Amino acid sequence: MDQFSDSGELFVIHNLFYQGAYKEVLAHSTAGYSAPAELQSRIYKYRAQIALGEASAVVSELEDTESSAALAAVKALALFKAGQIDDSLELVQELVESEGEDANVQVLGGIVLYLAGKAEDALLLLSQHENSLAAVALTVQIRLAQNKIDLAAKEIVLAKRWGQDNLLLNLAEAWVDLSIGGDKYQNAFYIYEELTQTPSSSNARTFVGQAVADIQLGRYPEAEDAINSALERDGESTEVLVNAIILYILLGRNYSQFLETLKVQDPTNAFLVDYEEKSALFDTCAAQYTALIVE
Amino acid sequence: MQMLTKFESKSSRAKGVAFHPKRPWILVSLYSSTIQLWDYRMGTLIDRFEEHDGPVRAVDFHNTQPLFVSGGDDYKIKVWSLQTRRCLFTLTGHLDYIRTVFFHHELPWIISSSDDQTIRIWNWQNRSQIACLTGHNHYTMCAQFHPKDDLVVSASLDQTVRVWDISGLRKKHSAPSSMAFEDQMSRVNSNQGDMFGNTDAVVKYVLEGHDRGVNWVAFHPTMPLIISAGDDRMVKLWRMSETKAWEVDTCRGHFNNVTCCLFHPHQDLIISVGEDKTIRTWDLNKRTSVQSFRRESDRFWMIAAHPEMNLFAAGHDSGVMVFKLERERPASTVYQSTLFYMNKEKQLRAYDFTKDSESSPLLSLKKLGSPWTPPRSLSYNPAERAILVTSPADNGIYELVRLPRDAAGAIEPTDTRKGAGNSAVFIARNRFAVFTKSSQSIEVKDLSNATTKTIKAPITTNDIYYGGTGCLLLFAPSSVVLYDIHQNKTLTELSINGVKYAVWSNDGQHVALLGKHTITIATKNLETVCSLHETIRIKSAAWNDSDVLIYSTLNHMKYTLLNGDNGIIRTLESTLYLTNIKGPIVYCLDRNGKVVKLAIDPTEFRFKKALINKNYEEMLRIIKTSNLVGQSIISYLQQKGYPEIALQFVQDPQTRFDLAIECGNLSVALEMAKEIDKPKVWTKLGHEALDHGNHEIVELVYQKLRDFDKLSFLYLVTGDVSKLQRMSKIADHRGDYKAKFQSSLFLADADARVQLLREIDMGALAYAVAKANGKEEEAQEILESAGLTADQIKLPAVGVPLSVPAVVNETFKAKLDLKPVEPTFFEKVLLGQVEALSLEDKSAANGTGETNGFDAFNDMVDDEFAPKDNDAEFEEDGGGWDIDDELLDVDDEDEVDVVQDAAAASGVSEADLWVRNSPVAADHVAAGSFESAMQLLNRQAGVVDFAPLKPRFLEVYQASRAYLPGNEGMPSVITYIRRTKTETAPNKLLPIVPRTLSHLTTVDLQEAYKLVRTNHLEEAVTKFREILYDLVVSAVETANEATEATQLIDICKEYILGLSIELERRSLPDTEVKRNLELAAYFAKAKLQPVHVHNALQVAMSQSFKYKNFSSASRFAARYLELVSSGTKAEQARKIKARADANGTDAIKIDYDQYAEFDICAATHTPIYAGAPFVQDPLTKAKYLPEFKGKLCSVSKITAIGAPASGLRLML
Repeated sequence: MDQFSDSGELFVIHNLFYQGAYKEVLAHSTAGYSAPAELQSRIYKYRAQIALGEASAVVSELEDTESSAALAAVKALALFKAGQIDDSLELVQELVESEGEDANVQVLGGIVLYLAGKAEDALLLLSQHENSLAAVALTVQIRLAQNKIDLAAKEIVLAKRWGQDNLLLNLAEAWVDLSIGGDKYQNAFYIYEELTQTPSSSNARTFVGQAVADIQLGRYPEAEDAINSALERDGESTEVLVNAIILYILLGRNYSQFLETLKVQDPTNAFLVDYEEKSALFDTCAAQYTALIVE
Repeated sequence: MQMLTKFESKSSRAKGVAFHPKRPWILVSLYSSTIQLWDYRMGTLIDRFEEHDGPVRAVDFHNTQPLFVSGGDDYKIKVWSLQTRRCLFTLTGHLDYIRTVFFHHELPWIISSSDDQTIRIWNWQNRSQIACLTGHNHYTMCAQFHPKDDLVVSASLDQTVRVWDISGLRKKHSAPSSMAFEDQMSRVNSNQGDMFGNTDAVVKYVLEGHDRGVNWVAFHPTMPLIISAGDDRMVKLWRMSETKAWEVDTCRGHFNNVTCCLFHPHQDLIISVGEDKTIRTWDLNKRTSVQSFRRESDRFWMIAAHPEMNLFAAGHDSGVMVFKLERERPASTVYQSTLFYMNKEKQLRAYDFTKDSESSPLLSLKKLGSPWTPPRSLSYNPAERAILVTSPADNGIYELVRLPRDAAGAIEPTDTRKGAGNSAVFIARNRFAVFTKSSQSIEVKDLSNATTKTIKAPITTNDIYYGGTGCLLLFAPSSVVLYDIHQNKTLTELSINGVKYAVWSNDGQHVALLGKHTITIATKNLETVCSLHETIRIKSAAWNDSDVLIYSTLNHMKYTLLNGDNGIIRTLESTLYLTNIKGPIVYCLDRNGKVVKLAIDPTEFRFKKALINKNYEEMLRIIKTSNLVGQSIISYLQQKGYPEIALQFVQDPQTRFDLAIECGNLSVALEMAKEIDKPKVWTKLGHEALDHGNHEIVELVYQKLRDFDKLSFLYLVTGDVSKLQRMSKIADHRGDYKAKFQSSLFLADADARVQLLREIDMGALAYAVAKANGKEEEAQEILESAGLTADQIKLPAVGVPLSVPAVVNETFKAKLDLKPVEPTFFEKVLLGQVEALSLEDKSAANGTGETNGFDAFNDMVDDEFAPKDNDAEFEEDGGGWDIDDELLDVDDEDEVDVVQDAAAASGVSEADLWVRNSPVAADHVAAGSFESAMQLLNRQAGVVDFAPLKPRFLEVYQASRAYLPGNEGMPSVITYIRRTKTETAPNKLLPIVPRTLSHLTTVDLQEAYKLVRTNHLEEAVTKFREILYDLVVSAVETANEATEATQLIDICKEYILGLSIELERRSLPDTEVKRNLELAAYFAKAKLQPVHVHNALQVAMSQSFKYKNFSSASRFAARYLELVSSGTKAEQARKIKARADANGTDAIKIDYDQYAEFDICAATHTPIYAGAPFVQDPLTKAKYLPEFKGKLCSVSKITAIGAPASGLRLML
């Protein structure tokens, strides 16, 4: 039986991790786990640590122990996040050549490669996966980022043939649905609604998803409810704040409070960076017309 | 088909049973000579009748009269009154045991069958036998009237069934007076008589076929069919025509004597019972066995059917059982505002609560389960538009069916998935759980019906129910468990016995767990909120939108609040299953599977709820808008500690008084006491007032009660000396010496006391008092009058004279309230002290509130404007405007060629698609393609200065994409927000653009108007410009909207221009009178909203008048009066006009020709007369003098005047 399945040992920690409950992941007790499960939960814990911004701590912790490919892959990601991009890529290359079949190498290596701008390499690596939903989810995300929605949808269909009704697959399906649009918006909404209503997966991230689905469906009051629920659960999450801002723009309301919090929480957030870029772009473009202005 | 036992009694052998046609009663005749009357709904024995000697084999209720009949082994037929519970009379004549007795359905007849081989018919009105039917040559076991025709059927141990024609009997007894003697003679002599010449009842058919004695026979209620049961273990079906009768078929299956049988009153079923301890049901049309129910050790003797309801009663060796053969609760489920339910025909229907409309059948599930078993439950999955239906047939089965897109009628579904299980519910979008009771397993299945997981129920479970996404409620015999399917664990367990149904509140926060007699309300985590008990069986429940649970019992509809306060809403005539509540309408399903709408009065529970929530506004509203009276609400309020509120509902003075006392409202109590004016009431008020220290009321009460002693004492303690003196006088008046004496004590008035004592000939005491107070003179006088001397009197030591302490505090003047009575909030409201709670129209209040802030528009124009916030009016005005309605033509050159790098690994991003798909600048902005957007704006509308548009650009860009949490370690997944919500084709996709046209007109434009109204002109100009900028970067869907957008641009232009003129006028130094007047005149020409035109005209009128331009003033006043014909302002305008007309000239010549067509140059604010050269702004269409060509438009501040432009394009 699949370790991640409903009854597997890793089910809880897996779900916690993919719901972004990193602190709970770190606190999760793995006592009594079988060896492979224990290793996998360690990896989740390291990844949770990285997600919490403690990449360098993970690097130093894994400095000497390169006992397994999986841990090495974690180290690669930690290196990347800690800014040692070249070291990271080198390690990943090494792992890809020697341990390309390892699921963790695929996923973590895939992330590193993608972040380093080598999306095609990442996809190549990920394509070697054997029934790994994490790999599928990552593939889907990369495909979406490449605007290859059809290929992303295909991945989902393929994975559904063998995959369990799993949180990751559900989420990936929702991403694809939201990218396809039309009738699929409602489907995405149902996915997120189900997640938000299930006690074990009701959290800020899933509520953000529900809010986005509502926005896509044009149901702003409902979206606002969902965003408020997300804010209640985590008022400092950048994902919540960004989408709150977007919703408030759509509602024609003042969103400065969220913007301020966002600037404090994560000044280098993609949303803010993008804003600055666009702001600069605007100025450049507008400058071309200044000659025409006659007061 | 299943047996649902409703009632069971324990007794000796029950030989006869009968249902009361209306009340929930059955009569049971016992072998032990007793007749019992049971209430089977309550399960209580109402009465026993013990006058028969030996076994009583037969009983029957009359269908309209309060009568019943019984027949026993004592050969007697007794007729009883249900009212007096006494035997009215006994009919004798039979010579052996009586087997059956029945009333005729309309005639006052009774038919009896007896072991004496006869069937007799009796008239119970004149208490005589009217016919004796002979012919059977063995015991007659059963005889019944036909339900309509003049026929009798009988069964006998002589192995025959006979049908008798009794039309003669009817003729003889129905109109005996009108029949001539000859007629009677001819009838007697007719050849129809039997061998004894008896024509009253003749044998019509003799049915032979049973091999042994026949125990029972019955007619079909509507068809010409007969059913009989015999000791040959057969049930035989017979058919008759006008001329003959024959055997149709035999139902074989009983393996001992069949004692009784009948036709199902509503369905094509035969039911028989026998000594083989079984109740069997047979298909009437196929004569095959449908089902058999066996009792362990009791032989059955009798079965009876309720004439209307779906109920049967069977008598057996140890009592009686009342049961039904099918559940009458229609399977149903509610999703949002739609009810899905199965009707009697097993068709799935949907009922839309919002539209109050019923769909045609969505599906027919005729084949589900067995034909006699209705489906038990329904679960709906909105995501997949699928239903799960369960049926108890074959030990529980379920079917998963997808609903058709349209209600196409009762078609059989083609694509169904089935399985075995007792319950099946959807637990998630793509999962459902199936529970099998025998194995106690819960299988989680996906939509292809494949099991993904099997769970063993953690406790012995009877049923499962939806428990929130991913969770199940498991109903165990003594608890309810909330079980998480994902984690395989019990989340909580709540001990309640026998829960059968769960009803979730609309917000999913509460669940009502219904048992047979209890309702427990719990939170979604199964924490008990409240529970209540009902003696009558609870049938169903539904939540309204404000957490009030409405539930139905067998005969009532009731409500309960979350704190357990409950009450009756109305009585129910038949059992109803509540499904949903919308305001005062309750939607129910009746037992026939039809939707029933019932209007209820929600006032009571709303009020109670408001009371509990301390929502005084709501309470007040309810009090004012509904006539909420009645003892129940008063006692409820009293009980809850709100006598002051109860006070508001009571008219009866005594009750009002009691409530007022209870809540310490003395003024009301006093008022009521005056009205009642009874000593008891006054006394009570006095006590209460004393407790409160309200001496005024106490005084009043004592006065009323003429309680002088107490009154005096009250004056003493309150220090009211003058009143005490008056009391003394009053006492004098009354000749009450004791009171007078007391007063003198209180007043320390020794003289008066001495005087008094002397008056009443108490010389000794008077002397002593005088002495004690040092009144030697008086003492002497007393002595003298008594004829005594001082030494004759032996006086004890008199001590110090009594003195009364001086009054320190004049309490009687003070209002000393010991018990502070703060009027409750509610009372204040009722007294109208709380202004915020004005029940007047809120908008009106707002309106006046806003005008308070209105600053004088001009020193002379200081009136308020009527609030004008209506979009509809705006539209109307728009129609009157002089707008060029021609469609904007757009050149193809506007299409921007975006070269796509198709060969790249990445696909085309949605943003790029937007750019490709649209020539609208806003779409390019949303796509982030600012450069092309600017090009478009420049070419279409001549925009050159983009800086003011920057916030709008960035806003539109940002609003068009949302960020979904992606894989950890990866950036967010970007999803593009579209305004083409239903499109998926790449060439149709377009981005959302925030601040839609309707938002701009309904919100922003009104805000701008408000700024104008409140005289914030500069802010208003800025606001109008913002609207303009938002409009420039926006997109619309339809040609109408595009026209509307053009109009909106024009409005902005008119206002910006008009207000700029007015602002310039205001900034002029006082010396520039001519310019001032000109600008005032130009402003009055601006095309503003009517209310704003009023202002402009007032300004122009008053300025002109002020500077003695009477002719102009008169014209402006005239224009003003055209618009406003009444009110003080109009009066003022009339005066101005009158006075201006008197002078008729203008003192100052201004550049304004009211008759000429002209526009105002937006830069110089001077007229451009028709025909004069001008240049126009491409965006706003504002006109300028030619020299301004190429310059920045002063209205829009972003466009170049006279720039070549194709026209702003907002639509595809």
